[in-house]
Amino acid sequence: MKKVLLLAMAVLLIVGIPLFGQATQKPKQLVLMNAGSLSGDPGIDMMRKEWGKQNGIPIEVIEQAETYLFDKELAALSSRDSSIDLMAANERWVQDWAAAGFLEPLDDVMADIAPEYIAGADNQLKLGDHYYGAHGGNMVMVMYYRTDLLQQYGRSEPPRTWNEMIEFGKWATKDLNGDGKTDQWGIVHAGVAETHFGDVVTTLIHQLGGSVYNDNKITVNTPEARKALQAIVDLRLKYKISPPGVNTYGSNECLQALQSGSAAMVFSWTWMGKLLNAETSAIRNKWSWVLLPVLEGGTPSSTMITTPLVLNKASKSKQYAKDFIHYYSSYAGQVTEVVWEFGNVALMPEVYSEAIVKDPPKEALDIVKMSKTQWNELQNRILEAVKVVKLERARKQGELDRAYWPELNAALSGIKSVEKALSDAEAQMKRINQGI
Amino acid sequence: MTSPRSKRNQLNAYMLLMPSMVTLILIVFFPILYVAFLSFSGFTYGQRTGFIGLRNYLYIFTDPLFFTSLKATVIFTFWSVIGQATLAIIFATAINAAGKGESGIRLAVIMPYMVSMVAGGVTFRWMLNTEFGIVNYLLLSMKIVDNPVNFLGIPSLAMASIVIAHLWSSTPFATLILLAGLKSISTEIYESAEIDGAGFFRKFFSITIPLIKPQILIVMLIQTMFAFREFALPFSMTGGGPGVTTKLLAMLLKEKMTYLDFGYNSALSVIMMVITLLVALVYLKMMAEPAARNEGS
Repeated sequence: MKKVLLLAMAVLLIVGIPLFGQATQKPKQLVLMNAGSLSGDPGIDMMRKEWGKQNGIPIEVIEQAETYLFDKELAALSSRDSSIDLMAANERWVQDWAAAGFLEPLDDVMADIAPEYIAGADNQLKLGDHYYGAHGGNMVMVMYYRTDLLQQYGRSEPPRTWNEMIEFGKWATKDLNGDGKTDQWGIVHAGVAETHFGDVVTTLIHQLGGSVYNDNKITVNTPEARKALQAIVDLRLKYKISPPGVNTYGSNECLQALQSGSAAMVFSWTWMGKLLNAETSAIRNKWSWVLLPVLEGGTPSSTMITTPLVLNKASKSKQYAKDFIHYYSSYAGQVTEVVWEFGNVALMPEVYSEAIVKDPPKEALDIVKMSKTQWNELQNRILEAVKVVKLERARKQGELDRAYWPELNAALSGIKSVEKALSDAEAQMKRINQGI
Repeated sequence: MTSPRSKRNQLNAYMLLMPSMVTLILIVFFPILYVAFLSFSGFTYGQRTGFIGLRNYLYIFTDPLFFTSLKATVIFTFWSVIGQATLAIIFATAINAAGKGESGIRLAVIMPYMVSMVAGGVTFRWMLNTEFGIVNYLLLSMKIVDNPVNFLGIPSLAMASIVIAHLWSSTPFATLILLAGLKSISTEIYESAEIDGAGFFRKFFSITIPLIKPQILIVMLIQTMFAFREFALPFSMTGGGPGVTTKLLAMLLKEKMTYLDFGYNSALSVIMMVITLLVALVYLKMMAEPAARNEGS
């Protein structure tokens, strides 16, 4: 009997040790698919190296061009490819991927993170009662403006209302070299369907108290939406303070307009800020940003774009991957992001009270060639935007946007009236929703 | 009655054809049949949910966006085919007549074909920009226009722009095919015509065009198929805009593909294939006619 027991224990030991070892075995590496190149994401680059050093697990990064990020990630997820552990996704995709069973829940990771978020910021990360993503690199919609032009215009404070903005825009729209052609425009924004024009319009709708997706109860053809879209269409077609080609502009054209000094104001995300004090920029130290001016009868609002980290359900190193997500998305991680990746936004307002955010290291200022005064003004304005961020949630949001945005562009282009464009958008979006 | 030797020869011929037939079935016919099968299926994120009959086709044929895209695709294809055939004939004739410099010109003409469509599209997009584009800069500098032209922001101009970009990238291929056709025409025919007093245009329309008609039809057939499924240029130049006026069918296909809706995509692919096939049949009939006439005479 004793012999049998000893034998059984020996077998258990032999079989058990490798099994136990396998469960806790460190992976040789984690693989992260990033949105774009790491050179544009110094925050996550810094933190993956630091976490890798602390844990002895390097995090390899696939730098995936954003245009094909969705396709590549979805292909990996749907084929249950375990070679990629972590993915920098888009908040619009999280719920659909979670519903399809591609993502690992992150409730344990988010337990101490979610309570720090501003109200509603976790809307798009949840499906049912479970979290499937953690906010990482975030940006808010702001209006960039030229401080030197504003001064010439005779004001020290930026336009806060839509009408003030139009007046400043009219003044700034000029033929500077006298060749009969306008070479400085009042307002520039992205207008082409595949870019953030839809987010600009949605922000204006939110200002007026309207909404679009409403948890899939689409309400795009509303008085608020009509007023919002008409306001922005008027900049180009009625007041002529936006370039005629603004309906073909994407983010790169907005950046070009800013850097070349051919725009007094630009609506865009905060990522451009880190490039505007470069040697080659015509508006070096002559710019700032502020919340989008408010339409008459509205209240300030802002919207965000985020690249939350998600965990592939097929990953074989879930615990380590979760640990990195927590490291990156936690309060401390977000402080690092804000300090070392200028223009990135923390959805935790307390981050902006941190001493290191208010008084950043010289190296952080040098990277963006910024004075502490300019840094603090810009961060304070980001905080202002964070406090009024409104995020809506919808399933199939990416697909809905592909129906919504071209119609907004059609109105901006003057092909359709605002009413017709919104009515067509609503019809198409509802049609897409019928499949849910 | 066939002899045993002839039967053996036939069998040998089939045996020799077998590897290519099997390959053809595997890589051409099987995927087509599989796509047709998938077009009757429902999908959620790449997972087949079952047989749904004609629902995918019904969805497509009741979608106004499909007809808008179809119209845009037909317009794009028509002008691309006409434009390419015309330009290719002109370029091929010019190169053929160039004499000593022919190889250099041929290299220069083929160069756009070496540039990726997306790179070409992005370059065209910047060149045609209203504020920063070189085309508007030149037009304004030469006082041809008073205000910048919104090439990509006005529906008709946007369509014309992507057609021109497409011609720029695809005409070289057609030029080479037609050049080969021109080279095969005997110089004696032209010499006889000259003795009879025929001028350049008479020779061009009465000798050159009729003799390279098969090559022209091949070029038009290939271009029709390529243009009908064009994606890269409109995607990188206009994003389908303004509105959806340049959203070609291939862009519609790509949008749905991102949600791995293989059912919808398969149905749309089948529709596109049937349309292309019908057009191809017309071309093939046109190509067959002269051959039949020759055999008859």
